[in-house]
Amino acid sequence: MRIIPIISFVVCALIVASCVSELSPVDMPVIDYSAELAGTEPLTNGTQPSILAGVYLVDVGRGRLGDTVAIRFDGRRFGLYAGRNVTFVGGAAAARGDSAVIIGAWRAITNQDAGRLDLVARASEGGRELAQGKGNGKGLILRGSVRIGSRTEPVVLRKLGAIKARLRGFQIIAHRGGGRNSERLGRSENSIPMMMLASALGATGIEIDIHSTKDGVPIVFHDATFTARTVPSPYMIGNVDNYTLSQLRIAARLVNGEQIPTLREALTAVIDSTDLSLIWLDNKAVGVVDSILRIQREMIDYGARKGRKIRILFGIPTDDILRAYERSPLKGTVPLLCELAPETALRIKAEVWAPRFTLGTQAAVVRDLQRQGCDVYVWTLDDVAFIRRYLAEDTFDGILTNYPTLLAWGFYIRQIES
Amino acid sequence: MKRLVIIALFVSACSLQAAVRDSIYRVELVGSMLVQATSYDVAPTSLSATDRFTGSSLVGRAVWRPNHYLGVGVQTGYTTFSAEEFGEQLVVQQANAYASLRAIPLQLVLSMRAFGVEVGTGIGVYLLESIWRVNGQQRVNSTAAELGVSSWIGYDVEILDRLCIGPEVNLHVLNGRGIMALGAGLRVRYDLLRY
Repeated sequence: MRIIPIISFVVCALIVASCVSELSPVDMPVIDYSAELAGTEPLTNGTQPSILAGVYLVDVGRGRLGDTVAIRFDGRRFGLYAGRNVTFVGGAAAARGDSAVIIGAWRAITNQDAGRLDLVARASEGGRELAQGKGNGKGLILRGSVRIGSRTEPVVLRKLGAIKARLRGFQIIAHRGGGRNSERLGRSENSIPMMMLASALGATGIEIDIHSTKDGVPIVFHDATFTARTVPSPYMIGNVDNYTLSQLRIAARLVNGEQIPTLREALTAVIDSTDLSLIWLDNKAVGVVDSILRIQREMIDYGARKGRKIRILFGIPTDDILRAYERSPLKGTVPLLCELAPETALRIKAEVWAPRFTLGTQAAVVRDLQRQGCDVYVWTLDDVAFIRRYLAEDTFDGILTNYPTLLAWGFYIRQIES
Repeated sequence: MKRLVIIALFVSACSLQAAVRDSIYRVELVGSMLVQATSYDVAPTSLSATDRFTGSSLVGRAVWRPNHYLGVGVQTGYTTFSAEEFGEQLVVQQANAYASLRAIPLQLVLSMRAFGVEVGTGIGVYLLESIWRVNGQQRVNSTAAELGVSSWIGYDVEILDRLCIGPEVNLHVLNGRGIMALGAGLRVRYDLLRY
């Protein structure tokens, strides 16, 4: 009988030790595009990108991708968005002879499956027209497979219709720079690598969170405190603004190993290295409003000099930030996004009003602001039913979401449905 | 909450297992001084030369031990997981920086003793303290709480009626922070109360 308490003791210890969830990333295959697309021709001429881009019916592979998928293609980057399991593909497409090939890495956000996608547009199934840049691609068929581990599943996609890349300037805005740590994308939320991925996830813009270091440098970080979920570095605990930028550079690494970017670094990277057209600065640090405004102004000018059409918005989520903005000598020098009452948004001449989605679609209020020249972005929609309902209302100019892939799919599919 | 229920069930189960050797109730105080080796999942900073550190640890426990094998109590202490200096290789303004991570555990413990050997485990929070000095001046003293578990095994040799001394090996695990610290040292046990 003496053995019973010992066994109980060991079992309890094991149970307690196992009550810890891992946040390890889901690995997507790494593809050497230059090697795999050697000998191909780019699909950048004339109408080739718009021939490939579109909404496709899934003839084979619905278990993996659902009934329909949307494909975006700018001549270099290929993106596919599926509603089922919130699946996205980032890859490349090129012409090979009189057909076209598409390769990419895919990942399902909700079940964390990942693998590789290979598709071919045969010459007889629209590939010749795509390779030659003729026609509109209607009826184009893409055949191939998705791989998951050692398993291969066939896929056949048939083009239903074209999509407009940015209908009326609608913005698909990715939360926290593109995604959250809980989605295990292998890139940390609010990190520069995550911002580089946002476009592949389907986003046209990003929202990033701004805090401050002890020495007053605006940094891109969501929480007011460091936790193991965001910054596992053991010397980085407690309040973010306890630490100087130098200390952050020494010891603070995000959960996937990246440095915490300064606001200037993040904006420079997005302007230089992405095709995103919107950055929403969600300001959380009252003490550095002047610095944020100065950097924002500089970066707007920098983007203009580089010929980038990018909208950088100073977010006003609280009365504290509003008061700090109104006290600033730099007031009125940058475009604003206001999350407060619509009257406040109009009073401070915000370019964008951003209500939370729980307030409803507020069609009359939204239309009234739009008539007065104010765009309206709603936050934060993650549920497919809500996303489709808000898209169907067709009132908002943009939606903030943690699932830009799901929103992109819903948005592009709706163009065909309507 | 789930953990508390598990512990409660465990204590209830064990209370049925009355020991035959000890027939008295005790309240014991245990103090340990240990030399400790700490291992991090990844090196604490990009400038750290290693992910393993040596330090010291003090542990204090108060355990109520009825006439069963199992005792229940509380544990605290003070432990230094790591301390390191960053010198001239810094690519930042300051020429010299010192960073250290220390902790005060506040835990509920269960321990079992038979034939002089005591095995125990504790569950609770570690009050972490990050201490930074830059060019000799204290810049940061930041704190946070983190869940963790500890375990130990010790051996008691009675040297006086209520006083025992012996070796102890102690383990702290803070899974959320990727910290594991193993210490070895000397323990002293004093039976504060017997009834």
